[in-house]
Amino acid sequence: MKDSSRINFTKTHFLIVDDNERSLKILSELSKSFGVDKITTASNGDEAKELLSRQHFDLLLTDAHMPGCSGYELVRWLRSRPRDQDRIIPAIIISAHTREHEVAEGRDCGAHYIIAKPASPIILLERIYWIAEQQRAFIDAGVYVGPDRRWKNQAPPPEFSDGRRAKDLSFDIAEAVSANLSDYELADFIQPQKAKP
Amino acid sequence: MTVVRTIHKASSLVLAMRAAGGIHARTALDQAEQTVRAARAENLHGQAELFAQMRNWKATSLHNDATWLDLYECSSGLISICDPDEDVHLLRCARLLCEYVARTAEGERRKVIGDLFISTLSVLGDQANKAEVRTEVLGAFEALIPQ
Repeated sequence: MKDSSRINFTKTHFLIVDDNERSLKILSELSKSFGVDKITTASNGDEAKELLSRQHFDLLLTDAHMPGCSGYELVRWLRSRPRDQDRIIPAIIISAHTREHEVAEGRDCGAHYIIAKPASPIILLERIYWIAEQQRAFIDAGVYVGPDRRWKNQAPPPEFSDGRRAKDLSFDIAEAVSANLSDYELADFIQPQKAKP
Repeated sequence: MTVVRTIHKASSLVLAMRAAGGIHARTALDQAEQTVRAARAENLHGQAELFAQMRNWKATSLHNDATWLDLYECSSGLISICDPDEDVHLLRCARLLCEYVARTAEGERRKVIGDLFISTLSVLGDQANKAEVRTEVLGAFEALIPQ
C-alpha cells in the first residue's frame, strides 16, 4: 500500500466484535478515522452471530478469544452461512496471542488475516486494503471454506524439484507453546506466495 | 475425492472500495495516528485500572484456577491497550505473563511468580520511570527465565 493508494470506506458497514470494552473502542475509533461510514459493535460471538443473521456487513473484525463463542468459531460459522454473499464477507481476527498454532487456527477457520494486538493503524489498514486489492477467490472444500490459499502449498515446479520447497515441513499445529509471531511473520504465514526458482 | 467449489463473486467491501471517492491512505493513517494520540490518556487510565486489579490479586490469599485465569485476562487487557512504541517493555512483560499462565495450569509456585510478574509490570507501566529504568528492570527479569 502506498501513501497515495485510494481508500474508500464511505459506503461500508463494519462489524467489530470484542469482549474487552476498551479494545472495542480502539478498533471502532481506528475504523472511524479510516473513513468507515457505519460501525456496529458486539461484545461477544453470539451477539455477533445474531447481528450477522439479520443484516449485511462489509467487514468483520473480531477478537480471537472471547467467552462462549470465540472469534475462530464465529468466522467458521460465517463461512457456513447458506448464501454466498454472506459467507464471503471478509474477516480479520485480532488477537493478543499469536503463537503459531493459534495463527494456524485462524487461517483454517477461513479468516483473511490475523493481526496481533495492540493493533497498529498501518497494519490494520494495510490488511483491509490487501483484501480489496488481491480479490482472492473463495473456495468451499467442505472442511475448509474461505479465501483460496492454494498457491502457498503448491509443490515445486517439476523443473525445480530440488528447489527451496523440496524440504518444506508441515505446519506444527499441536499444542506446542512457542513465541508469538510478529505482524509481518503473520502476514507471511497467511499470504499466498509463488515458489521462486 | 473432495469437491472444491470456487466462488468468484466479489465481496461488497471490494465493490465499495472500487467506487469513486475516498481518501488517500496517508490521510487515513494521519487521522488514525491522531486518534491513537487522543486515546492515550484514556488507555493509561485503563492500564491503571488493570494494575489496581492486579494489586488486588496480589493481596488475595485465596487462589485457584479461576483467579489464575483472572491474571491472564488482566494481562491480555494490558496488551490490548498498550502503545506498541511507548509501552514496548510493558507489552513484552504482559505477553510473558500470558505465556506463563498458559503453560502453568497447575503449580505450587504460581502465586509467588504471579506476584513477581505484577511487581515487574507495575514498574514497567509507571510513566514516571524512564526508558532506561524499564529496560534494566525487564532485562533483569528476563535473565531469570531459563533459556
